[in-house]
Formats: sequence, structure tokens, C-alpha cells
Amino acid sequence: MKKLLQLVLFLIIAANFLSKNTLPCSAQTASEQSKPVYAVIQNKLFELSETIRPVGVFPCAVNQRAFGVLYTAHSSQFLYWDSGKLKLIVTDQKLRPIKELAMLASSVWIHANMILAVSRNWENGFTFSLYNFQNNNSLSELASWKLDLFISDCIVTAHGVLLAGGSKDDRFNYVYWCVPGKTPQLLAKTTKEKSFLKIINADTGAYVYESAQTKTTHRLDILFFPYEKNTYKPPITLTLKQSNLPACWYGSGFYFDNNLYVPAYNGKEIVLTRIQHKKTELEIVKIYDNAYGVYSPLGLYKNKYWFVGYDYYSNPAKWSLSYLNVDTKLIVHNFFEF
Amino acid sequence: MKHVAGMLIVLLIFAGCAVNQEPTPPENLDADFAKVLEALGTENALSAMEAFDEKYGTTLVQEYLNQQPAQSKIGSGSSYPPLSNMPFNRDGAVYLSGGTDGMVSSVISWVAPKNFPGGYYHGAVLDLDKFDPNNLSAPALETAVAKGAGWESAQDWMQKVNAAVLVPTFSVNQQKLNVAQQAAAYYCDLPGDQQKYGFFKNYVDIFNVVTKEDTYWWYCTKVVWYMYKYYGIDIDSNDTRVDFTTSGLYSLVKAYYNVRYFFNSSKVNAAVNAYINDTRGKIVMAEEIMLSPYLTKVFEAIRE
Repeated sequence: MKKLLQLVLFLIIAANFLSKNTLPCSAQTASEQSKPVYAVIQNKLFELSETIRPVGVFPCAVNQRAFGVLYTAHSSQFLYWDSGKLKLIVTDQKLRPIKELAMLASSVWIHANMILAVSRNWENGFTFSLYNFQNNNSLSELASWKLDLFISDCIVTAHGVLLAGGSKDDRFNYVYWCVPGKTPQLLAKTTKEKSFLKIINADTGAYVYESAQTKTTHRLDILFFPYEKNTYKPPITLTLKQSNLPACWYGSGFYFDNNLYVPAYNGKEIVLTRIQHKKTELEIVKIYDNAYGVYSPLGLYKNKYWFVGYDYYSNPAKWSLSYLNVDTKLIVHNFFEF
Repeated sequence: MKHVAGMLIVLLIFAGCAVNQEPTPPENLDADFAKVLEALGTENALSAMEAFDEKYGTTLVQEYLNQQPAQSKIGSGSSYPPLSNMPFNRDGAVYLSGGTDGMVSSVISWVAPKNFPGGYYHGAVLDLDKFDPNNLSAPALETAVAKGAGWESAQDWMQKVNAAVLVPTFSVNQQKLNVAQQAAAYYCDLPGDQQKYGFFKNYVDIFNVVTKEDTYWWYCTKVVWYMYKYYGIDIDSNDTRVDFTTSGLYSLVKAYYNVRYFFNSSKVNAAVNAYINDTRGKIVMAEEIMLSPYLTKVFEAIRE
């Protein structure tokens, strides 16, 4: 009886939280976005708008996925996870620490004020814990799930987490839909052949594809998980229509203006494919050469879609702050070497 | 003749009495030493050593400080740029690190002998199937973490101060390697209540060294060794160039026996040497792996 009451109380708190903390899907429309986006390369933070502005240097290397911006009515704060100190750190806009919160994890994924922490230890699976970062600079744990999953990508919505990754034995790739208070739902299971699942968040659902580990021929399936009534549904396999197909998908894709952008290797270099989705078909409508490599999509600022460019196999020390100019249809790179 | 025999008997009795009259060690030595061991790896380590030094006239604190990497004396974190050119392209490649490393137990750092440039004491082995070139923070290297065996990422390794990458000198059978990686992964997978982390049973009981064959107690270099042992290769070279007198473990053992056998230096030396020889065979250190004839160095960066 006590456990039942605790469960009911938890569900009420979770529902209350979710109703107040709605995370919009990150699908964007060009010209609507006028807030700068932020990029992390190694331990350096940059603000990207019309130009690139170095903001500061973190005391440690920070993963782009473990960095976020907290917007309040009048100002903003930064949030990042220090993998050395195992702490979540809140800073002001000059990276001066405001608050440090212990977070024992092997990796952390920050989406607005929601934080997904993957446990440091594997104990019959990793534990995935979902936290809400609150206005008083504290954390509240919403849920945790244990899964045989080496996470490769995720998106956090107001109602749960879509998790993608591989099994410990590297034989399978999985996609799970995890809702607080419920057992994770396995939405897709495919064989894993030197690949890592990447997720693209779109208006009506999520696209999932396999980013190849090496630049070789690899299957080009793209699955579409419809998002209906606050829930991701089992996937539809989409047919790719194109005579001149790339060798493999390679890197992280993004979505805006009703178009899917997926980086690929064409046998010579990394390109960016622009894809349109019609019913159960996908069509590559344009291929942008000179993509260099899309490591972390960042977002739109006016007519520029910014991303962190990186190609481990061509030069592991060379990074770029790059954008696709929506008007000129050109990709522009600003290279850094560390 | 009777007199001679009588004198011999008396001498023998005296000799026997002399053995029986060997000075007894200080009453609380074992308990005080246990306090030092318990404090290893915690913020109380120095104060526990200070108390031991003060009571027994040893020099644990001085030796402990001398063996710490330079940076750790002034704070945590590395200001060095990432080792971007560290290769992650050979399945089963062995990674060794040294220098200041906030992610690695200070006990491992202190216990490991550091005779060679780099001062390596930490180790991991790459499971290439888990390395994502588009997400360097993906866990891809089998090693030991707080609960026992576990995982680290390429990004973790690029942050090391000193590091070396070794690859097999022999032709690797990929199928056998995959099986061996899964065997090591089995222990990376076990819950914390079914395994422990450390060189010694009961965490720091240095007179109870964990054997390599033990599958309950784990440390980073043992995970690497286990993977290759399962494959069929013993990468513990037990090379005598690895001088254990440069390790904190030697300092501890020497301090203990110096107090216990304060009346007889040769007895101290014999006890210390016996301990070190026994330990050398039982545990596998990073430098012992580095000197394995089955591995060759393909990358090295020494910055401290």
C-alpha cells in the first residue's frame, strides 16, 4: 500500500513537472531563430551569430552534448558537466562558476533544463537517470532506467527520452522510448555492423539512421518514428529514392524547413545530403560538397545553420565552426587546429 | 670432554633463549599501520602518515610527496591540450597513462613503480567496435573504474598527461580477440556487489595481494592483462627492469618492517625483498605491460 502511494505521488509530481517544463521539439524554421548558438570545441566556448565570438575557456574539456544554455526572463546561464570532477557546473556568461552539483556519470546529455546522466558503472547495463535542473540551481531526479545500451544518441522531450545505442556485445542497435514511471519500450532492434545510431529530431517524429564507423560502404536505411499523442511510435522504414547514392551515412544530421540534412561519405569526401520525406519515401534533393564532417549540429541563427565540423580520419586535431548558408546554399568553414 | 659438552649445551640454551628474547614489535604497530592503509586514496592519507611517522620515526610523508606527480601538489586538472593525434584504429590496442590524472585512483598511482619516462600506472584496452569517430566520448576502452572493471572513452584518454599506445607484435586473430574482449566485458558488466576494485583484498590490505587469476578483485592493468590472457598471450613481462623500490608500495612495506624488525636490518631487508618478489609475480603493473615482448609502442606523449 505504501509503495502504491509512493508511486501515485511520484506520478503526480512527474506529471506536474512535465506539464510545466515543456521542451519543444528542436525542429526549426530559418529566419525564426535570432538567438545566438553556442559551440564547444575541446575546452573552448564560442558564441555563433553573424560572427564567431570566443566566450571563454573551461577548466576542462567539455563535450558539446554536455553543455547547455539556461535562458531566464532577463539573462542566461551556462550549464556544463566536468568529466574530471564529475560535477555539473552552472556559470554566468563569463564562465564564472555559480554552483557545482555532484554528478557521478560516464557521460551527460543536456537538453535545455533536462539532463540525462549515464552511470559510470555498468552493472547488468548502464543506468540512465533523467534530471530536471530547477530555477533555484538544484536538481530533481525524475526517473532512471537500466538498459544494455551503449548510448550513441538521444533526444529528450517533455514526455520522455528517445534513446539509441548499441548492445554490449556490439551485435545489435536498439532504440528505446523511456517514459518516467514506466518500463522502457523497445521500439527498434537492428543488427549492428560497425555503426552508431544517430537521431534527427523533426516536427512530426524522429529519424534514425546508422552512421558508419569507417568510411566504407554501409546500408543506408533510415527509420522514421512518428511522434503522436506525446509518444514515439514504432518505426516505419523509409525507401530512399536516388540513383547516385552515397557509400554510407557518416556523422550527425539535422532538420529544418521541412528538410532532413544527413552527412554522408560519397567515396571521395564527406558531403551533406538534403532529403525530403514524402509518405514512405525519401528523396535526396541536393548534395552539398565540402561538408568536411558534421560532428555536432548546433542550430539556426537567422539564415545560417551552424554545426561543429570534424573528421577524425582526415585530421583528428582539426575542428571547424561551420555553417550552411540557407540563402546561398553554400557551406562555410572556420578551421581550428588543436 | 664432559666440560666441553656441558659448555656447548649451555651455549645452545643461551642461543635458544636469545631467539626467544627477540624484541617484540611495538604493541599497536599493526593497528596503526592499518590506519595508514585505510586512509590511502582519501583526503586523510597525509595526516594518517604524519601520525605514523611521528610515532615510529618513519618517513612516509616525505616519500609520499616525492612520489606524487608535480601537478597534483598544486591542484587538480590538466592544462595540457588534448592528445588529438592519439590513435584509435587498432582493435585490442593497449593504452597506458601516467602523470596527474584526477580520474584514476591515487592508490594505483602511488603503488605502481615508475621507472621509465611517462611514469605509467594506468591502463586500458580498445574495443574498436565501440569507438565512434563522431562521438569521442562514447565508452570504448575496457579498464577499471570505481566498482571494478569498467569503461572509458577516447576523449577520456586524449586528456591524459602522459600516454602511450601499444599494439600487438603478433598477427591478431580477430575472432579470438572478439571472444576475449567479451570475456573481459563480462567482468566490466558485473554489479558492484560481485566484484571489487583494488590491488589488495579488503581494499588496502597490502599483505593480501590479489593474484592475477582472482576474478573478484580488479584494477585497470589487470583488465588489460586478463583480456590478452584469455586470448592466449601473457603480457605480464615480470621484467626485472621494473624496479619496485621506486613505488609507494615499497615505501609502505619498508616502513612497516623497519618498525617491526627495528633491531635487525638484515631481517628488514629479507622481509621487504620477499614481499616484493612475491608481489611482482602476483600483480601486473603498467610498466610490466609496456615491456612485454608481445606489444610494441606506436604512440607516446610525455608532458610531465
